[in-house]
Amino acid sequence: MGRRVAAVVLTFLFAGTTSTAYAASDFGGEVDAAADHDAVTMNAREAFSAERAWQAAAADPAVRLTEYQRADLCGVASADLSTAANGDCASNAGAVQVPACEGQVPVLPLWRRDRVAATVAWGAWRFVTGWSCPQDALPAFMVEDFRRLPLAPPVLRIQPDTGQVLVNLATITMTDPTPQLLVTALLGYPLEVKATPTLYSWDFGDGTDSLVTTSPGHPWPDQDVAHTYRAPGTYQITLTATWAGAYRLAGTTTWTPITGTAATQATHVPVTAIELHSHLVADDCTTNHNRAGC
Amino acid sequence: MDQVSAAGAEAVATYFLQLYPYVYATGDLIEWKALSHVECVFCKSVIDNVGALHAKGGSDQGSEITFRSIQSREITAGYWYAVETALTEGPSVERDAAGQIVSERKAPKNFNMTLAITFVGKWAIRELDVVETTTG
Repeated sequence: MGRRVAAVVLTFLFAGTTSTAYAASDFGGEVDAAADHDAVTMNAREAFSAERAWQAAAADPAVRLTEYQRADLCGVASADLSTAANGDCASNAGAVQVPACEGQVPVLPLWRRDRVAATVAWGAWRFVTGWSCPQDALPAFMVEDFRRLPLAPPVLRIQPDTGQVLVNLATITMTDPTPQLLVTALLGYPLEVKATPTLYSWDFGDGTDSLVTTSPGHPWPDQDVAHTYRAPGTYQITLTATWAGAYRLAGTTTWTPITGTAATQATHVPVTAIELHSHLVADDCTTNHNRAGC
Repeated sequence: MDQVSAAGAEAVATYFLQLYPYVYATGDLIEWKALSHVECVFCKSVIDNVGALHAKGGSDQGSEITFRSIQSREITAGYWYAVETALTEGPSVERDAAGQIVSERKAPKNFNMTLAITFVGKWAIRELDVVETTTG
């Protein structure tokens, strides 16, 4: 895609200097999709899903009418695309390009054969999709799967954290914004998933609207998330964190964003907001520990 | 095109690519849009470029399509098809509203293209990749 964009820019520059280098209708001058959304990748993904669905169905080999297999591709410069399973590849000319896959083992081309009935001979293996990289051919990691991962809710901390807070004074809240790295699998391939908190919704339990912040909050004296209770009572504070996700095959370097977000919820043990009143006294608690306030 | 099969997808791809010079020449995007998936980046590029060209009164002639090879295959029966084609795009000339030549491409170009085509009640070009090649 980057290469393609550069070509468009160059063409535009040429258009300003010469009248013969560029014409509006030119397939090469159109914008096309980024590498992970291009037609080749989409076709590879769809083929991979079709193969997996066939495997999952696990139809009886004696009676099934469709079969898939992964196998090498014969030379591509002559005749139809074929595989050794259809006969000797020796008569096929031309090279087959196998992609470099960031250290991953490339996925063999996919072949399919059909028969009209269990009593009839199989047709030849037909080409479905060529060599691909697993990171391209694998279907996208879906947000539903992301939400099923055991994301640890970030710990909700408050200041003061004595179980008591004061009415009309700020109660400070904060959490840990560290991204989490989880390991899972996608169709048998080990997958790393990175979850990063992006939004925090603080419910202070007193009926006021939740406070939504992009900051995870900070301890005193740098606090930027706080709430002031206006009436005495016992309140439970709940933090709902919104997580953005990205994934990559273990061992590869490029993160692919997950469309959609996950959420976690953490609650703090209930806090009691109390009201303190000031008293004028003649002595201090050391000399009179029975007086009010000591 | 009426047949939901690899052959039908090949006919759709052929028709769609032959629309390319037509939409640039006339600005008539009705058929092009009817076959373009809403998320097809390449399809939208053509819609945007043709729209801009004709909005200023320009037009483009040429870009005759010659297919050198075309293959189609079913990926998921009744739903997803892949088409690969090698084609030559003829020279083209862009003219402004006054008929003056704005730009001209005198040499034909060769391209390899891969199309992802879906059928969900109707055919749609899901995406189209273009790679320019030096040899025919």
